Amino acid sequence: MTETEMLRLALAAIFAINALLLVTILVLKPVHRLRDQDRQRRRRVYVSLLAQHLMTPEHRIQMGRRIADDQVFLDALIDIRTVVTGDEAEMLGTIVDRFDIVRTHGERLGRRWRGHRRLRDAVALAELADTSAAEILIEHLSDREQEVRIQCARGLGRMRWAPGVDAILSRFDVETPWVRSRFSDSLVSYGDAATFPLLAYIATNHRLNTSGVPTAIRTLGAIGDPLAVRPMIDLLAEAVDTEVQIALVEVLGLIGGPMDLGPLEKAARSEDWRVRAKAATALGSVGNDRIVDTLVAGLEDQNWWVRNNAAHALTLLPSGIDVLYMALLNDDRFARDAASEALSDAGELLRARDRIEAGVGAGRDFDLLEYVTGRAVSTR
Amino acid sequence: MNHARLRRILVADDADSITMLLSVALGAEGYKVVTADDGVAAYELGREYRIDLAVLDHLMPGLLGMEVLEKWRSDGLDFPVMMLSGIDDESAVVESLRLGATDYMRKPFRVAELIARVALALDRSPQ
Repeated sequence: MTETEMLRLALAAIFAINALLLVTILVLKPVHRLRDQDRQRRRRVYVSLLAQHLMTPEHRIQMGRRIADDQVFLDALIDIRTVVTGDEAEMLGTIVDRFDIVRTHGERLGRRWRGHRRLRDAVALAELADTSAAEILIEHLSDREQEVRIQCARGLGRMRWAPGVDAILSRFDVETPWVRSRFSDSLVSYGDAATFPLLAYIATNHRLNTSGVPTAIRTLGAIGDPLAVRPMIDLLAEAVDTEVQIALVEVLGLIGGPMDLGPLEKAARSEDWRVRAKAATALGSVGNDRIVDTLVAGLEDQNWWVRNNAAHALTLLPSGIDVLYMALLNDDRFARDAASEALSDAGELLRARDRIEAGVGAGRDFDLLEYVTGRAVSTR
Repeated sequence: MNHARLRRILVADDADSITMLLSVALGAEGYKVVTADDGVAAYELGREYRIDLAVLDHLMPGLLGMEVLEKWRSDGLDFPVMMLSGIDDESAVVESLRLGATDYMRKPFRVAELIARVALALDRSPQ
């Protein structure tokens, strides 16, 4: 075969493949359109049936149990359930029971060969959030597919199924950080109901160096239950693990409120600079003028982050701005730098400049402007 | 004769589950229902048809429910408007009422309550 013939053959093959692809696209397009139209038609029928059922409860949906297999029906049911509330939502719950929807999807979730389609069943059960699915969801919290596990936790959170909290927490230490964070989101859905199981989990595990404890602490922060503050202060006083200390300090600063600041002040003197830095920020959020000295000490810390956080925390306290102006005269250059940066970030530099330009600048206004610009201000 | 059979209601929401649900529910009460899935279509339908009442979603593509309401009012269309919204936003409620909304309901809602409020708004509005 000559080179020309081989070239022609190759071109013919390419042409044939392209033609085949084109025909496939042309055929598949109307097929997809027809399927979409059919899906839309079925959706209209199902929504209409569900609406009729809501309006006249004696109206029974005349469909076989195979309807539970139809994803379009399930989507319609889920969508309508998210729109209505009260007795109407409960009324739709009877349809879930009557068509055995939970059992159908639960069984499919248990089949090994369904592969990724099992995820669809898990999502369906999570979206339905029907309490009859709780046991199935708990069982599949240890499913081999992480996406399925995440959906199961989400479903438990959506239905706020109390025993689900401990079941989710029991997985905290074996999951990857990403799955754990998604589990944490599900626990946040429980709200205050998850506070005490989380505290119990933290109290039991914080000395065991388990990876789930910091996530559990941050989950409490996201829930924001003020009842968690006192137990967390006690935990901070006895916590030895650095990651646990960091998480506790962070969350105490987040939840805020009046509290015993002793453990936070102790954390501000920790050997680990990350704990000191977080403690400085937390003290700024929840503290008062009584802890000013602790933050002033932070201005002279050897670590930049601690100095920076302490200075910015001072800007949040009533006397903090005055203290930062005084720190501009500190012998420690790093403390002066941190103070001037925090004052600038708090808008003091602009205010000092305005006062000077208006002829009412005080000595400390000149100190700040001169320190930041690095040159003397002529109008002093 | 039930007066509801003479009334035309516009339901505008980008969620087809809501427009379909309310079409069936309001239709079962004897109202004529027209639907729109975005703000622009809702505005046009409000101008083209003799609408007796509109149920408007707050967040819609094209135009927000509040914007549709504002445009209708500036066009001199004063039929009752019930706002529907999923967001828990007090300022949206106040703004809608300031613009002339008759009523405001938050999602999720009870369909029976919405129908009762629609009937009440129609009873109070001039024929």
